[in-house]
Amino acid sequence: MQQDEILARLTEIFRKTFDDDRLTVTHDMTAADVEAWDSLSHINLILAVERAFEIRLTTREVRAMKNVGDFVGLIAKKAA
Amino acid sequence: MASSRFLAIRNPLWLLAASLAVFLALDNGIFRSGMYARFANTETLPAQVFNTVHFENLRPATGKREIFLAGASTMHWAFWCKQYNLAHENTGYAFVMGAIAGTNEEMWYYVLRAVDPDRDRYAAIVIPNAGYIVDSWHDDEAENYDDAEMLAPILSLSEWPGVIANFQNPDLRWKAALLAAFPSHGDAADLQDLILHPSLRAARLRQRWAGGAFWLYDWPGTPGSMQDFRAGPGNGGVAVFPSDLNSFERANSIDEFTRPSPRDAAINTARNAQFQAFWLNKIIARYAGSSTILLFAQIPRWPMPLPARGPIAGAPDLRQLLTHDVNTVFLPEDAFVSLEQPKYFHDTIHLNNVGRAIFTNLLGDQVLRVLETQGQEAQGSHAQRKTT
Amino acid sequence: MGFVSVAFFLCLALAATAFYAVPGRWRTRYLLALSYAFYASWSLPYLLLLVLASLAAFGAGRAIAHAAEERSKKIFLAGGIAALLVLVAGFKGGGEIKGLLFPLGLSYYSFKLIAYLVEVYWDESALQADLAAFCLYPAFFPQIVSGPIQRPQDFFAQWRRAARAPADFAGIEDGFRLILGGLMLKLLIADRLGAFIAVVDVEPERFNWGVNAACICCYTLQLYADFAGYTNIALGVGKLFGITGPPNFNAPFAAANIQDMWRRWHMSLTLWLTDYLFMPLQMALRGLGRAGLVLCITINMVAIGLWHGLTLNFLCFGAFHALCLNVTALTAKPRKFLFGRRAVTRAAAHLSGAVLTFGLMTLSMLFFHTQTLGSAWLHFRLLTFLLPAGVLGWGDIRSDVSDPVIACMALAYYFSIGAPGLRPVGRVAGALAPNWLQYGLALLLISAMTVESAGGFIYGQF
Repeated sequence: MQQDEILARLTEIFRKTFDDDRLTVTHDMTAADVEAWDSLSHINLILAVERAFEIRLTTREVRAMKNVGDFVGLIAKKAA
Repeated sequence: MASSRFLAIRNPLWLLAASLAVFLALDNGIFRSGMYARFANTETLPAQVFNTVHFENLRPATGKREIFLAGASTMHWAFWCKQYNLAHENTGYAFVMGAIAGTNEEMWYYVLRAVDPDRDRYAAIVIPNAGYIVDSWHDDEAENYDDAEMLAPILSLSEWPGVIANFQNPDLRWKAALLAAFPSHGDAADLQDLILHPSLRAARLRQRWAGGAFWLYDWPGTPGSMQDFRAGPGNGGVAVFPSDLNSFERANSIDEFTRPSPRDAAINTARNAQFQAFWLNKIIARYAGSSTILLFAQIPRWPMPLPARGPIAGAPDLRQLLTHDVNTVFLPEDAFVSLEQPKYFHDTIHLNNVGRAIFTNLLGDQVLRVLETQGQEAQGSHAQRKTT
Repeated sequence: MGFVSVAFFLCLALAATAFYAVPGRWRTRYLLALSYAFYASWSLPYLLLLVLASLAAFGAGRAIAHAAEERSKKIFLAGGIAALLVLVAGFKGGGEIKGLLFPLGLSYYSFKLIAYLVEVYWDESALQADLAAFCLYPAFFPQIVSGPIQRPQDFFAQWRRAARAPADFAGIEDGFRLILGGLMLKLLIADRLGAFIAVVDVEPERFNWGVNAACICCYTLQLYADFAGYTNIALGVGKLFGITGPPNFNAPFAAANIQDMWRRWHMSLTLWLTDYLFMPLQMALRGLGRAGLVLCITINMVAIGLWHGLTLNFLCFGAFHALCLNVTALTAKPRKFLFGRRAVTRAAAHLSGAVLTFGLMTLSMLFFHTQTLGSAWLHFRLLTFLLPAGVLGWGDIRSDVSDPVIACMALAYYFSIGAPGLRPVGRVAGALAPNWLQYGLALLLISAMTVESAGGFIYGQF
């Protein structure tokens, strides 16, 4: 799967999870950039991503992500 | 904006030094200098100590030979200075009230240093005690941090080491040392009161300043009486209070009827005797060789024997602990015992107005008699020395 | 030796000056010795406990990093965490029975060591090879009494720089400002509220409703001023040695709901729990949907409660907040739908939410502040008129204690919502007076306004 394709699908998931249609996801985006992205909604994001890409993430992998770019890389690796 | 940035110090050590210098300059300039003390709450004990010294030093001389009355509230309430001076205008003597509520022998020593630096201001100093035979009591008078706070407004930096060294407890020594180093710390409660009640403070200060140098002379006294007071049976307890005692005075009365444990009584009696003797001997040493006469007097102690104050077996006699010098006089211990009756007392330690009227004349007359005979003796010995 | 004493600051000035005179390769050992000396001034036997716990965690970290198999990594991790938790729980639960004193800072340094083990497990590059630098992390004296709980990578990264760098003048001045601000918050505000609370606490049922209600609000405000004051001092002292610790408070009562408040209150603890308890729990329970969320929140908040002590009161404190947080989390969408669409309703909701949040926190303080459930229940009944109030009022409390209460409550609340408007005033003051004059005046204010009863910190006991 291409990085651009992952990013496009992530944007869709982000908009739905955080209930904000104007969100555009970029590689260097972090939780601090999205108002509704907190420790409670984080798990919903993980769940939505796991379902969409049909992957399973571990706590260690989730924890190691520093920004959306890391997330994209992780999805690319797992979904490959 | 540029000016303060230009003056800013960046090196932390210099910054710390400059900040501390500003702090110490203000602390000493405002709080040690006595500037703040003039605006302190006149009701507090430290302010009373300061005001006594401050106004005594401002007071113009009476033109007569002056007799200074040291002591605590028991003396302040008991002697009506203004009345006695008016009634005895032609004796050539005038009484000066210097007794301050809540003070002890240590403070009298420092008050005398502050009002009489050259030891030549007074013909005599009357120093009262609550019994030549030192009584037992709940508290250890010597180990009281409040003493340092009361003295703080009148102490110079060089006098502090003596006050600090007098504490046995290292924690109290450290606290007193901090108070000596940072005088503003002692005024925290007072400053809070000033900020929260500025108009009340202004009113009190106006009243005090209007009284001027003679604010202590004409205290109205109190009409209350211990006539209705009944002690409970057995070992103390208070059965009936006089109706006009407030809750604070009632609590104090109960205290006076509660006997300390024999062990505490022995320890405190010894400590208190040692404390009193230490500071009174310092006063005696200070006036050695001066022409001021020191008159020690056992003033009325109680409306009735109080268990908490009762002397214990073998209690020391102050007269044996004190240095006897040519200028020390001990008034007889029974001089005022006739006043130790409920009808003359306001509470368990203070005389009421009736008692005060009698005591004022008794003490005043005795002091003048002593001064007259001493004056003759002194003249006599002076003449003798001349001839030999 | 406590943080609020002249003796401490005298020693600190000497120690910090000497620190920059010490050559770089000796600084770690110097600061470690200083930290151990600080701890030893409190208790020598418990210093041994700190050293042993540090050495054990150092070894466990290496074992986790070097283990070949995932299974052995997990065993070492679980063993290390379990040992540290047993230590904390043992002292919290059993210490009282045996009459043992709770070791100073144990709750804080054991959580630092657990964080280190988990981080090493997650990412081997978090391993610290230098034993002295490692031991400094839990022992670092500005943070040992009551935190803040700094993360290992953050601390080690900063220390690598601080151990070599010359004195950072701006950073040290920040430290001065934090220390002075913290002292003011603690000595001028928290301790005055503390003196008032101490008077009412003796027999609350003798006081009237107004005094009791004010006193209960003071529980929250005193705790804030005391702990935020402490944290500022701790952060300031850290900065003198080149270490910037994590914040603990971010205007907690400006929060619009209790969930938001917990992101701004004792943050170094709540973030620790979020990372090492809440998030792993969420991952494990993510299949359970809403039930999983409720379970995670409940476990997390009960853990926060019990971290303060293994008592029924702290359990209730945690459970109460679990309830509040669950309601907040589950009603997020309807609340957004109801209030979120217009600016006016948003503002009104935020304002009333902030007041409600303060009220809920204060209600929970009935459990936090009291020792027994009976005592909490007594306060609750007094507050809700279930018990007739006493007759004693403000006038029956010593005036030097009761006079400043309202002003200090207002000040504490003002700072707890982030001190709005203080910055511009500070800029003007900064323009008018050079830094040394400002600090000199601050010292005078502290000296001349500190009440006699000033004393220890509330969070030092946890």
